[in-house]
Amino acid sequence: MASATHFLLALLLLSFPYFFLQSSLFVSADQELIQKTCQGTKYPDLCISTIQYDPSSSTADKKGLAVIVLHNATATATATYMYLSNEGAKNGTSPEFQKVIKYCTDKYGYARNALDGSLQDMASDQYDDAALEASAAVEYPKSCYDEFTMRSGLTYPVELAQREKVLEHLCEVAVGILSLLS
Amino acid sequence: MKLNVDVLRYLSKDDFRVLTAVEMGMRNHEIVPSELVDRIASLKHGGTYKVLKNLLKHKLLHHDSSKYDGFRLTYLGYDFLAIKTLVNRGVFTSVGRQIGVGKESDIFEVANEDGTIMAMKLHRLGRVSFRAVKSKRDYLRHRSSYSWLYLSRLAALKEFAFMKALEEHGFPVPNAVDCNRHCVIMSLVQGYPLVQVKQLQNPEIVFETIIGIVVRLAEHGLIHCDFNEFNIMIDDDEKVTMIDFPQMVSVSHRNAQMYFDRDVDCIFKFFSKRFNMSFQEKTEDVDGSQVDTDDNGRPCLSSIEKTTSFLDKELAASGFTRKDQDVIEKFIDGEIEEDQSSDDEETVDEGHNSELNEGNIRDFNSIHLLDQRDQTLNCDQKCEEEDQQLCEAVQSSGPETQDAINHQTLNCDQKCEEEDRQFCEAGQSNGPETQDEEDNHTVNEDDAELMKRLNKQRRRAITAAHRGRKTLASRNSYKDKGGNSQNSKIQKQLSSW
Repeated sequence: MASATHFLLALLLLSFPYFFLQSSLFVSADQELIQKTCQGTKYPDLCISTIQYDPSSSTADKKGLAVIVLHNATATATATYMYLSNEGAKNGTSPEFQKVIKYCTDKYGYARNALDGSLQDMASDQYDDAALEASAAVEYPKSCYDEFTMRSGLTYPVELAQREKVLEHLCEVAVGILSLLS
Repeated sequence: MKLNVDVLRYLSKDDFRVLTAVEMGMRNHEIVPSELVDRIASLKHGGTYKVLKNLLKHKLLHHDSSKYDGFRLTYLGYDFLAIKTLVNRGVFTSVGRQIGVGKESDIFEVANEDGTIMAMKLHRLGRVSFRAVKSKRDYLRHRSSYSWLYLSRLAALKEFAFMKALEEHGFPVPNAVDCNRHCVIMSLVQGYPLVQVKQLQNPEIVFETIIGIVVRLAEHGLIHCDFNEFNIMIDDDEKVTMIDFPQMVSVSHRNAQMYFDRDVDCIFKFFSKRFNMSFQEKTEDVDGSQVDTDDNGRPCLSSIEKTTSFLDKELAASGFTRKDQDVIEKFIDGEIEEDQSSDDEETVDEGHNSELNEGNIRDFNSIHLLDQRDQTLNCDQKCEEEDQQLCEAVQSSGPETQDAINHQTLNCDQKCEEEDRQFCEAGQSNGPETQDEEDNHTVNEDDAELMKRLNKQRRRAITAAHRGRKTLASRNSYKDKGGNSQNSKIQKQLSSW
């Protein structure tokens, strides 16, 4: 009887660190988890800064971290969509420029929709589909650049180039985290 | 394209990943370059090309190298994506037999884990087989194939949203279970289409219920637009269920009056023909309230108290926005204009198109039939529906187009049956030439080539007619020679008088 009690106590003591580790992985995101997750992505610095900026990151698990990055990417796509809509409405620009801006607005609209879709997939734990949507969101704005370069007399606006880059990097970070989940 | 779900078993995770990547690429490209598919799919170990080849083998993708090398999704590929998503959601676990073919949809039985059987409706806008005459020439002229997938998705979403909203308002419709892409899952209606019912115990009650539904829909600001015996299911207890309403419009639509009248007309004509019913001056609503009727006892749209806000409020909850509604209505209206303009260009336009309606416009077979025959314009929608149903059955029928021209003096009801046969055959086996044959008197004189062709056809028709007469005469003369026939006896008596 005494030996059985000793065995149970030993088992409890040995399993305690395991349960502790498990709970830290799935319930809260400490710095270590953020660091470890972000190191697996293409842009670790952007990943860490984006996640740490969000107050909900302290209690987030890996899935939560991916959601934070996806929300940021969606916000970037939406902001660029709005920016382009305003650019298109500006007076004094050439009709050709406006035509291309309209085209680009649509592309950023697609990117935003794809990221919305990605968040929906996350909600139903479809990580593969979520990663595909995020990958697609990188591709849509690329045709905007192509459209600008194809037309003579038009230069790709620096502001738009920067926005495209930020969106691309955020999406790639999200894809990186999602690949760790799936 | 036949839906063979067996292939689903052999598709890997990578296959679906690439298929989904093509779908995503199609938001941006009509034909998706394989490099883009590769970038979106980003398979861990590469091999996108091998997967694309496999998908191509199963006809889930179509390869196009006309402009540049790329791929696009086929309806089968789209079906598989929708089915996989719904299976993942746990909506159903197995796909059964095909239980119906609509003008722009296929319906299958599906079952969930409990064994509950449901209906899966796959919308297929732009399907070629129902557009025999028109589509073979120019149906996709101004449109990309993705538009069809997109529009099919919108049609499915619209039907799902309406079904849910109507169910909530107590209309007898199937229970809307789920919707993904162009696929709608609904409860299976236990019953038969009204068109198959030859006898009813209480035809008056059924009739009143059906007219009551039309009126009540109008009170909710809606018109079915395709309300006929094919879209009404009736069970053994004579309980009515309304199905198939992706073309439903608001009472604020510019052609609302015409759609409403046509829906009512269809029901009146069907019941008077099938159940020999005669109609009173007043029609009672299902709620017991009296609805104003015209001289023929039919309800008037103008006298119905309507709530037009129904669409916006109720449908948005299912994700069907006003914007989606605008897109799909624009498409339908666009089809009207496009069809009319192409008729001007390519076929003889007799000027009846203005009377055509949305429901008809969506079926190019019907349009051409209407173009051909001014005397059949009064024929009800049922005729067109029957045309299409039978068209499908007799797609491979022989060239009996001469018969088609000989029935123009039949009354409307008889015409329905005749036209089912003749115009299906005419449209499907002979295409535009047959129409020209019938309409040659209105051809534009300037078009020399067309005139030459028409003259040739006219000569051929006259020759055929002469040949027919000759055969008839020779047969009669042969009979007369017999001496014992009734004809020769009469002839002898006549000559003796």
